[in-house]
Amino acid sequence: MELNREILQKAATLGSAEASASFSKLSSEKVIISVSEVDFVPSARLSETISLFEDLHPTVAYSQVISGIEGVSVLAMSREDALNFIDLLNKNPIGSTGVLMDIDRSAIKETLNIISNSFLNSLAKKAESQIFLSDPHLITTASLKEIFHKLMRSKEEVIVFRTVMEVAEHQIRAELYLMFEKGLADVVKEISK
Amino acid sequence: MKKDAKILIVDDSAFMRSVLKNILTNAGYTNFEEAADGKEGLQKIESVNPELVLLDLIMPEMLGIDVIKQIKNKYKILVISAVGQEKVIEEAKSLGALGYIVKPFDNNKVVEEVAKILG
Repeated sequence: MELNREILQKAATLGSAEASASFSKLSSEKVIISVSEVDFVPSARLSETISLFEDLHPTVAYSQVISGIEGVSVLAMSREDALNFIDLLNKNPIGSTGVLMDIDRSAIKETLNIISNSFLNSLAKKAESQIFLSDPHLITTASLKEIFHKLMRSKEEVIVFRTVMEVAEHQIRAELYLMFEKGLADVVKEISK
Repeated sequence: MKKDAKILIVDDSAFMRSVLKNILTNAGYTNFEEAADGKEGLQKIESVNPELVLLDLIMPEMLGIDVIKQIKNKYKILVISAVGQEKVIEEAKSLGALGYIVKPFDNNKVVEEVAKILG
């Protein structure tokens, strides 16, 4: 288990670096990684791992892994950070956007698509395996908890990669979660070869 | 260079379609069509006869890779996808895609690749 954890932490570090580089490119701002971690989490406690659930109205984008291994990808931002991020994408002064329009919601979903794939591209390269995500959706936290319940109820533990990124100058914080069944550990073992 | 060439943008993200259209409009291109999923993309390829298709891979209804398989080298395709896994890039190119750009991209890269393909 310790060997697995060490290998997975290396994968997390590589994946977080790629994801934050993409987040930086999208926002045209310097992005720092404040957290890059991986953990084995009991499936019953999955929803507790997303700290932004404490926010009353978080913006949550979600994709499902559609190849081989079961898993999900989630991007969570507070409502205010999501609005400010849209301003950065549109090169508007921070505070310009008050409500997310359809095109803004599409931008948040595409952001999840791009940064989670950046993470997975890194993971797949090292593991010589392919991992694909479905098209992304914006969902409520209640729906996400239901998805966790349905998807992971048969699993004892889930591997959770957590990356917290911040656009330093504007203190815009985004949390990316990639959650997989434990079979992923066998795939990323190949990183060490 | 054919700036009035008909370019079909197939991507389920309205945001990404808008970004690509703006980049190419700023580069002087004028003639665009859009589709929001693979199935609509395939229908539009047949109905509007584009000179270039900018194609996302992961979309509802039909995956981009299946669109490439269906049209069998009859149209010029530039894949623009967040999926950057080597085997996927190789497969897309072997099926007939003339180029492959991984998101997030540099705007100049998109303009360069489009110009290269349209000649």
